[in-house]
Amino acid sequence: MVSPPALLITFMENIRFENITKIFGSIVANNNVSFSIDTGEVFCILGENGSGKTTLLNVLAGIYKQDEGRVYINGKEVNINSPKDAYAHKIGMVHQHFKLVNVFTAFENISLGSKTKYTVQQVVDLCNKYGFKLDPFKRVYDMSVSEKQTLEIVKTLFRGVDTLILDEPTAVLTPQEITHLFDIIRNMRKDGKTIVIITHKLNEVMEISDRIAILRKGEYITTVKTSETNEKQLAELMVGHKIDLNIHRSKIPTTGVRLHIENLSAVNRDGETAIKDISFDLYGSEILGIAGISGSGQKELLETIAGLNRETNGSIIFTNPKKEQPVTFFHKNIKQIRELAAEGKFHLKDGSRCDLTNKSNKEVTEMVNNEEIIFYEDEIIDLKYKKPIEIRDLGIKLSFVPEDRLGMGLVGSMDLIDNMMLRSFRKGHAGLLDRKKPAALAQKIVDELEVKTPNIHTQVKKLSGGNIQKILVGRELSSRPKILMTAYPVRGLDINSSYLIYNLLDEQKKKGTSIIFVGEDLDVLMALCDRLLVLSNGHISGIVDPTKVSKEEIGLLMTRG
Amino acid sequence: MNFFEVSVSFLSLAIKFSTVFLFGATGEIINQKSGHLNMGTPGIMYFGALGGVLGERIYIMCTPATAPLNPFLIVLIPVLFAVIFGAFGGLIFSFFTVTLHCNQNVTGLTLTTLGVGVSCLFISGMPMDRMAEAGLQMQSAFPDYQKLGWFGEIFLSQSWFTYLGIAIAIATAIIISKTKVGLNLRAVGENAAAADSAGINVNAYRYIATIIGGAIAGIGGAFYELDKTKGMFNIADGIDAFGWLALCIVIFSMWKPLIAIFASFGFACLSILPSFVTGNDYITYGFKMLPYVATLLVLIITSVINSKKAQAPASLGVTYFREDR
Repeated sequence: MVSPPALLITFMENIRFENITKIFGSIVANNNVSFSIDTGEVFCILGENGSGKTTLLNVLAGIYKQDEGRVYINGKEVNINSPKDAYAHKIGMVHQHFKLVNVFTAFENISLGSKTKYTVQQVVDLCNKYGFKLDPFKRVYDMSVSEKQTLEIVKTLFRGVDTLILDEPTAVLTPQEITHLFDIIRNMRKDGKTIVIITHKLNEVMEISDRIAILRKGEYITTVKTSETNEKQLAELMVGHKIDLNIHRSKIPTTGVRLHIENLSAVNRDGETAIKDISFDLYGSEILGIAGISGSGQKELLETIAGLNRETNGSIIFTNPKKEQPVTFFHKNIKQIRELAAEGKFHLKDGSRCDLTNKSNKEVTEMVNNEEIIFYEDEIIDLKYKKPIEIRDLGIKLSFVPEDRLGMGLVGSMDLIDNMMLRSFRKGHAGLLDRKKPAALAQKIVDELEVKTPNIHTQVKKLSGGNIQKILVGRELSSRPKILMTAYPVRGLDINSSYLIYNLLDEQKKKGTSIIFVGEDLDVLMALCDRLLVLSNGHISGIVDPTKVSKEEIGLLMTRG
Repeated sequence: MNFFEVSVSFLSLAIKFSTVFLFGATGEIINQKSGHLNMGTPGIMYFGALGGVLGERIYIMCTPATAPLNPFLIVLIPVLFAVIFGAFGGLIFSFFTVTLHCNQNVTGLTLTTLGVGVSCLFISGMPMDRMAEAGLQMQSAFPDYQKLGWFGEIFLSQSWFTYLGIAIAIATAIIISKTKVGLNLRAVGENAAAADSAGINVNAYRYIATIIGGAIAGIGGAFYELDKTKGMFNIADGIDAFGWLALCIVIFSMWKPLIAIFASFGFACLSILPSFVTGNDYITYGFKMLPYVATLLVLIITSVINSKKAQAPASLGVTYFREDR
């Protein structure tokens, strides 16, 4: 009587990967991965970005074909060559980038490519069964991200799948939406479905899963039972060594208002209103977090402050902390200095009045270089009439990290030095470029931020995403900004690098910089920021103290109006 | 001729002209609905023209010099050849963009250059004896149209190619918007990845749509070339001009074949206007610019309107390869 337990196990096993290897060019995305998933469980695939989670499940969903290895379903070897084959084996995947036709209605998307004809009533029935909220006649371009995700899941379920793969399903949802999604996942499990979730978020793994497989750098590490592990252990398995999961938030007093924004409105590239009636103050030595569902106007807000968006209403007043500081040629030419002197904005080092009318240009230049001319008060500057380059020179730096990391900050085909020079090419002598200082800066960033690169002459695009990010952030911090705006600076970074960046920002705050931090992970925003500004649909739905509100309250603000 | 008679003959000729545009535009709409921005359409229309002339030549050569030519076959055989040649053009485009993942713009432009060159070379070297026959046989679909006065003159005097073109456009409109095949085709053009993950064979849809579109555009080219021997089309510069304007009609009609019927007529009016005005070269050439000025206006208007429903297929011009990262 040895067989029954063994039989039971083979009956339970749903999917088994055996020695799966997938190679893209020179990158080994999956190396010899073997493990199995049981029927009727919520199974998480945990790993950092680039650990090969999505690639592996894409093999199962028929998007990629493995180079080596076999896939077994219910003990039988199967050959999955296309998404169609995957459906035939009752496997469906909801991809991180939704595969929906924007101009179609929900119902059209659901019936797309299926042989049987569905009725709207069937869709409604299925939605009621699991608790989905979906309007079958709504077009996809009118849907919120959460609705699109719901549609993707319904679409997949309609194909009669038994195994549903969800790729980073919570990345774009508010806390309330995540709770709702988890309820649905539990309903589906009750119904006997197997749910495979690809994620890198530890707290969610702990909340929803039965078992967890961990991948690291394309290799399978182990499978653990959720009931027998904790976040700390999972993080260590994920990264491969012990890590400190605390974000520092230095408590230091803020200095005066740096940026005063009032009734700011702007349109996006399509001419639609992206932000409206934005008013807030930004202080020195603080990190102001910006939370919101993606596409709520975060990008446009930062671009508008940086002067990249011309079609705006409202005022952006920058207070340059110049009181009792010497004037420099950094963003003023001799003519402007003369004008300001005539208005009585300066005094001399010895406290006497500053009169430049009878002085030659040469004398004035000498005085400025000797730091003899001093500001009486802080400079108040209206940024609305400044060019982006002037705004940069004032010390307002936009370290914008868009989805396409190379898009706005770095030029992929240039090496590290040249990318440093994108910020300093105007400096130099007689039209010739000075490459020594940028080279030194590049080397410094490589050393301090542990950038993995063969040398500083390597093309940036050949580096991994995380390393590119470090170079971008490092370069912006090196210019000693007064205001640093950064969006999604840790997207695509491993845990170590993320915490390195958080600490860098905190260090910068201690030096007096005002930081605007647009993030997507609420836990991080709440741990790092001094204040949290919540954007909803382009307007401010609240500015809160993260130590005094709950995640759920912020979630409500994110969806209000 | 008084103004009324001129107007009637103008409208009649405009409808005839619009036929060439309509074949090109319908073919291109089918292409673009599958996500293929086929800029090879001017070349494909030339392929069709070559096929038409070649088909007629072969039929004439197979008939004894003294025997009468069959009025039915002398049109049918060139059309079949045009379909095959046009389809071949579509096949070339699909092979490069779908199978070899080439850039669609480059492939299309190359195909146009190839089509124009090859076809002009062979057509100009072709013996022309008895070649006017097809043109004569395909003139009027309804022989007694004159009995109906101006109405007959304008609407019923046309070649059956014209009615075929309209029928194909209407059929295309119905298939695209009302059938499951049309839904799948639109999905392929809108979001190939979504269609693929829904189990639709993206490559097959793109191949077939492009081949069918090429075949339809090819008929347009053949119609022009066969009819030209009657001396009707001497004011146009070449088939490629029709092809480029057909591409514009596609945008103007917002990818809807029914609107393309009327858009083709409008562009045909602008194209033949120069031959109805007298004056010096400046005026003639000024009028000849009209279709192209209209094209620019169309682009401005469509970009200003920018409606979500009247957009180009979202994957237009994007080559799809499932394993792309």
